[in-house]
Amino acid sequence: MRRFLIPRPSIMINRSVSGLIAAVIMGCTAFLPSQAAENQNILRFIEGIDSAAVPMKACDMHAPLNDPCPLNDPWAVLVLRKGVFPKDITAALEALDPPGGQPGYSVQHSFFVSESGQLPVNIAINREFRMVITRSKPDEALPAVLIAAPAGQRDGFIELMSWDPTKKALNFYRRPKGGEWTWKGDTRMAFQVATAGKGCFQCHVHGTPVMKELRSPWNNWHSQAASIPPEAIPADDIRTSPLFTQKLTADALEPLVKGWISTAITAMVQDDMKQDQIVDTRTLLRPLFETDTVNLQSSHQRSKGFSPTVDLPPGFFLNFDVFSNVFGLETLPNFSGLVDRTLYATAVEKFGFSLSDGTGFNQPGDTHFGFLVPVPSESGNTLIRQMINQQVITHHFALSVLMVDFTNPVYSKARSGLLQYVPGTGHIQDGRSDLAEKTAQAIVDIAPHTPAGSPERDFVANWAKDPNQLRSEAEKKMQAYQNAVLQRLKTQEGVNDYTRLAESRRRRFAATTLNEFPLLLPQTNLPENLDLQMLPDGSVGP
Amino acid sequence: MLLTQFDPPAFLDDFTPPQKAAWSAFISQTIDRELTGNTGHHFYNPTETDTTPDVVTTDPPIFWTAFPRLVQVNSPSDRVRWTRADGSREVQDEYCEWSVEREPTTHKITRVTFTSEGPEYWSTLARVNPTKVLDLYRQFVNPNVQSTDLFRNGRYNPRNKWNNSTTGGVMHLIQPNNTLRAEINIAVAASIVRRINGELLTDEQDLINCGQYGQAERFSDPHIGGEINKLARQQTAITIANPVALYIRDLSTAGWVAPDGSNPKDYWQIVRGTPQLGLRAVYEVPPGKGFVVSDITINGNPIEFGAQIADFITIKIIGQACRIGQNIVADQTSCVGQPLFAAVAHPTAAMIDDAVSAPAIHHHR
Repeated sequence: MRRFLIPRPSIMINRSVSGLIAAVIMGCTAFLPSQAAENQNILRFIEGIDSAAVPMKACDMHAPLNDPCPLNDPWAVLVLRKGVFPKDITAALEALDPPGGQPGYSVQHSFFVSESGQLPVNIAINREFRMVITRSKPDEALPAVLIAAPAGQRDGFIELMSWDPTKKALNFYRRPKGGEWTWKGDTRMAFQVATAGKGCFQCHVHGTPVMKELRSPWNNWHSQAASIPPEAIPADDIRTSPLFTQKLTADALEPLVKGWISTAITAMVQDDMKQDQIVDTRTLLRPLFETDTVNLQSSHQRSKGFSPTVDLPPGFFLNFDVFSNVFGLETLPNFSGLVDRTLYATAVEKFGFSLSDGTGFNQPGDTHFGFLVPVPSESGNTLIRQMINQQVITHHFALSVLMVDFTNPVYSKARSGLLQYVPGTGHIQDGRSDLAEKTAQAIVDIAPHTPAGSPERDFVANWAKDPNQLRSEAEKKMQAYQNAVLQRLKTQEGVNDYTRLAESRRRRFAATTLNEFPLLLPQTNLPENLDLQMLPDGSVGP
Repeated sequence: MLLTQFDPPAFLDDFTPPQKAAWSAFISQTIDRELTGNTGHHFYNPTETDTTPDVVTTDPPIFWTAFPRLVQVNSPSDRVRWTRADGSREVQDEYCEWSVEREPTTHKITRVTFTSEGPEYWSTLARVNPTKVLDLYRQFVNPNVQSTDLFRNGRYNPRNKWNNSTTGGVMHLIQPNNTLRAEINIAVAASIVRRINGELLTDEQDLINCGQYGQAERFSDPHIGGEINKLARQQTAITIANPVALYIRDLSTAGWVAPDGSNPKDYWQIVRGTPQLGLRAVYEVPPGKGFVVSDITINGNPIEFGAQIADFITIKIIGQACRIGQNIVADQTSCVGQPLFAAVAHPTAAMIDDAVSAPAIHHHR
């Protein structure tokens, strides 16, 4: 089939000279020590365990069969363990091609993301593009191999995840530019104290793929909501590559990422519950109490659009995913974050919103789709669901925790303070763990010694209720809060407050390793020390 | 080479040869009407203008999610949006509509049927072969359908009781915006390259608001327009590949788990059309498996709504282009009707709720 001729942009734009940092979906930032090109072993370097990269001799193609190699995913089995070490993305994809006529991981899809992809095509800016490539067997719904790489450097940084059916976890691999293929750990290591939050797990906090802008309108991604037009890409080799011309839209990537999150986390929790006890309890239960990672969600409307209203993302106000989808609570059915566009535009102007790449480009206004904010992560919510489903914790316990400071779905100081009461281990008997009761008892014991209105006292008040009574009261509290928010959304003062709160939360996110690109978040003129919370009456305060 | 005639959707064989010719004439006339009304387009009627040997089809095809964006934008949670989307065919406006069947006692879903068949095909078939229409309803919806259910005073009623709800069955599209005419209108209008105040329009929303086609708040229309316009900007001659229709592209079962470990995709079947040109699909677990649709989970959630399945369905049109780089048409330097930055009417959550409680009529431009 003929390819389309792809036009050169009418205005030449400088190619990115940033080095094209690897795709956010694999966005780890630590770099390996350089390795000799002739080293033909798979290396292992897992931060928290290894002080340097070590060859995995058990995985060598000549290793005796009775040497256990912990890598049995398709990337390891079909490529690395056969002594094939692809030097660039083209070779990596060729290595996965099944020999002629044989079944294999032949189905390939590509996706593109760029924080500059939807900026006007006629402006001068260094643009960089990243791609995610998936490979699957024809009859498999989830791709067993996910690859991320910069679009403009075929021999650049590659990060790769592959599903290991033996241990039911995703293996993480990295090949830095000029370096060797290195195993960086697997899903379970994201939860082990020694390795949690280190290396790849700084970004992949729950050991699963990360697609920050996971849901519609998939800000920054080529999607059905907003495309990355060919005119935005000056480099012929990117623009004319089948990886770009045949790319799919981000709405097709979303179910794959969610599917792997669910599959990997479900398997991890199942594995934990097969033991006699649960160790590393605080990393496991952390999403219930703290914001260990987030997704980014925006309005469905462009910040400079035509619609008379702008919808603020519901996850900014409440963790609807958990309260509605997991607990089945009735939230206000007519709640929507719709605000009059003039109120939103006034707030954007008042607070000096702009996009800047840090090298001279500056554009007044918000991100392409406006009001981009951190919301509870899909992986964290999935973990909460699985912990309840698989009886790591009880429904009632989870709701008792989440109703503490529920108006702050992310970065809740009150809820995070309760994590300390989770014991170091939980015992499992008859298919359920005692973590809920042990944690609750620890809080019950300490609560009388805390001030009135403390998070401990709030939890105890929830915990002491009959579960049906707690559910009923939770619904009433949430609906009262939602009504208060609806009133505030009609006023300029209310919209200004929520804009300030959004910026406060964005700054918390900005301090994490997931904030890798200057154009991801808007700049504002709000004070440096902005630290705000949402109150139950819909107002915003310190 | 000229296309001899437009074939019926998915090359269906419901029509006799003369009736197929009449259908072809209808598609051709619909295209011609749009061509006349749109100055500066890159579109062509392949039965009247040659398709040159450099022809290519869009790869991948132009596709979008079947779940209605308007419902998504106006709903705070997944459960609320699924409930709303399952509540009325009037809100299912992404060229895909569905009906859900449940066990009467457990209320579990046993079958969900999806269609992308345009109403024009059925009104045409009803005029020329009402017996065939009745046969098809009995075959695909319910064997108890009577002629008097479908026809009033000899005229076909597309909103008959077997095709007007999300629980009583579905045969073809009825939502007012879900038509083949709309598809052709969008494709023609979006094939106009627009350069406003020296700036080439590439953004989907800029294009649809400047070109005044379709409905800007859907997934489908802006995306179709954006992809068609991308072709036009390459100075190509564009058309919709024959047979002209909207097709069910695929169901993704990523994250789905069946209780017996079987492949959830096994229960998806294109029952009208072909696997590549799907018009009607059913999701149903065969009897004897020991479980039903609602026992299958999606990322840990049991399937409680047909809309949960719609989240994973994509609908497509197949674009076709030729005379690549040679179809020189001057860019248009103005927008249709209102100035570029005029506000566009935006349905509110109240309108969505009204649509759920009582049918609303939406008019596409």
